[in-house]
Amino acid sequence: MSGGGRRVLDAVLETLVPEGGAFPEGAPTFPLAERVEEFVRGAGAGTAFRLLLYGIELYPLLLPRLGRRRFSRLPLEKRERVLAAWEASRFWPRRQALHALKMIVLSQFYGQPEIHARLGYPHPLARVPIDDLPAPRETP
Amino acid sequence: MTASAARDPEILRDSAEVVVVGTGAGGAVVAAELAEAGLDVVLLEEGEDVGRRDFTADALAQVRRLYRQRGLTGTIGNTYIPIPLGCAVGGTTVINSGTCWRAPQEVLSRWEREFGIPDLVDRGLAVEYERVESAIGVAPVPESLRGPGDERIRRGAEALGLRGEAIPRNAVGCRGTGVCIFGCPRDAKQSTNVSYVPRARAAGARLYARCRVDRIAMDGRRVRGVLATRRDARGRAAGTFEVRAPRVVVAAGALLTPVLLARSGLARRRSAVGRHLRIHPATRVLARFDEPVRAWAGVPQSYHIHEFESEGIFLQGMWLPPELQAPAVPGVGRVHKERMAAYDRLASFGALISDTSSGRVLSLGGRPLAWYRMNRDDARRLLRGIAIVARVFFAAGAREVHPGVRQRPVLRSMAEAEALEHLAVRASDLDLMAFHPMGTARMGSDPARSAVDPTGRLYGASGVWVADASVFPTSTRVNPQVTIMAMATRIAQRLAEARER
Repeated sequence: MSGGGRRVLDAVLETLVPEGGAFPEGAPTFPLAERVEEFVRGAGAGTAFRLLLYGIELYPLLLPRLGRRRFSRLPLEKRERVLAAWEASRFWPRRQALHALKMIVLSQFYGQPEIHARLGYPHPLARVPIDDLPAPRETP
Repeated sequence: MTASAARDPEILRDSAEVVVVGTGAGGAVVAAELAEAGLDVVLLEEGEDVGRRDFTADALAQVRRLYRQRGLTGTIGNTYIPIPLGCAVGGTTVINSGTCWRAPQEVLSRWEREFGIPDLVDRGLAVEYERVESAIGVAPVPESLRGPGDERIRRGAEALGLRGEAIPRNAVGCRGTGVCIFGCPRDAKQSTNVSYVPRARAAGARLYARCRVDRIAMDGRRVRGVLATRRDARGRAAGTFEVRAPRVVVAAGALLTPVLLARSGLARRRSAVGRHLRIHPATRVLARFDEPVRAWAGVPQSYHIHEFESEGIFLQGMWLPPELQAPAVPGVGRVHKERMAAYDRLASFGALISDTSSGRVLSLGGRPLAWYRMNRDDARRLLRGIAIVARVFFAAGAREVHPGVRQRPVLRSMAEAEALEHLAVRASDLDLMAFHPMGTARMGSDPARSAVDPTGRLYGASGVWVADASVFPTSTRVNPQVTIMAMATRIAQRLAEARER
């Protein structure tokens, strides 16, 4: 992703998962941007994802109350307000776009083992170790 | 060993009596039944040949490995609806929850009456159902394996006087690892990669994984075989593969089967191929409790409320790990993090409807484009299902419910849950997903209304059969896995009989 696109992506990631608050880790704690890029590339959705990022970047220019500044140049609190408005939007493509963005970004963030530990979520195979189980049934 | 064409470049051609495209609930069953009947069968699969050693229970890695388009497959229309599909040996049976319900008698009766498919009701399809259920070990989830979230639901349902019971599944020796949708690491779930595919291979069928069938080759109206692209381990094209066969069974699933038929020039103008797409629109409702629930323990889809089935509303267990649950939690930034920090106190449950809407699968540059407009009646019924689940959660002691409804992202009381049902909503107001695409090559005795005849044979071509959920004339109403397998069993028997004549 180009420098401009990467700047927008970093701003979006930080807005969706800022550091601090309920727990210290946030998007900047991990190399999340690379993982997100790899995921969308692998899903064949790279172009659509870039268009979405540019839509988010330019959207605040339409809003006088945000000072007609690009998304990536807004302070965190205002960026949160922008994305929260997308989530509540009556215009379904905007709401769905935000939902898709959450799906891609949050899945990468909350998939980190450190975050699983933070949430108290044990790895399934640690909870029910396979080695302790009898051999599986043979093919019927 | 899989006969991997990509690893073994000299294998460029094969021939068989029957080539089966797809290894899911339809294709694997056809392949096993035919191979055991003594036919020479080749089985082709676009995805990897995977097994329990590959099923690490790491959600993201498994989505990447086992899900088509990394889980982003879906329909567009008046909203986007994701439909998770499997792409591996075993197809979607590898990543489903293992729920096994027979289609209700009224559905089968309608297929007989309106579509001219004989011998389905009463003992009709029951023979094939019994054969399948015995092969994959269908039994209700024992109480000891019920997930803690589903147990909350059971208590809430009981408090409200709603009827529910354990879900029948095909998991033999399940210990409640809870990762059914990422491949069962115990091989307890009898997905076709551990049941019918090994049976087919033991009977002599040859399986080629990582082979995407590009088209069915025809000599006029008579089938000659299939042409496929071989892929290497990284998914890159590694050459072509031709299988010559006088009979081809297409079982690539209801989103891909019609596209393969269209690519092969077998979708006649105004034919039923690609039309009549039906899905099960669904959503999950999340609830936060004051005390830890630890909903990840046990079987995620273990219990259902069946009080509303006559309305086409099905309420079933549904639980996901943090990475897949997080997008459904409302809010962004710090608000969202606060809610996710209570992950061990969350429970979730699914609401699913048997749709009355209909869609279409188009071939766009040889790839599927699924168009589906969910009507207001379906949106209202799904909202009713969501409101019922919210009420059940509050009756079970939930502090807060996240129903996935735009106008009411957070509910805080039983009164709010009761009022939810009366909201005016459109499909796009709901956080939707869907499962079980079907109907896009429907079966029937009238070639003007159907794509395949009652034996599964494609109209307008000689030697092409369809054996997956595409052939269902209407929605099965319930999870279709065993109905696909039962119909595939019957189609295989008819095909074997036709070969003998």
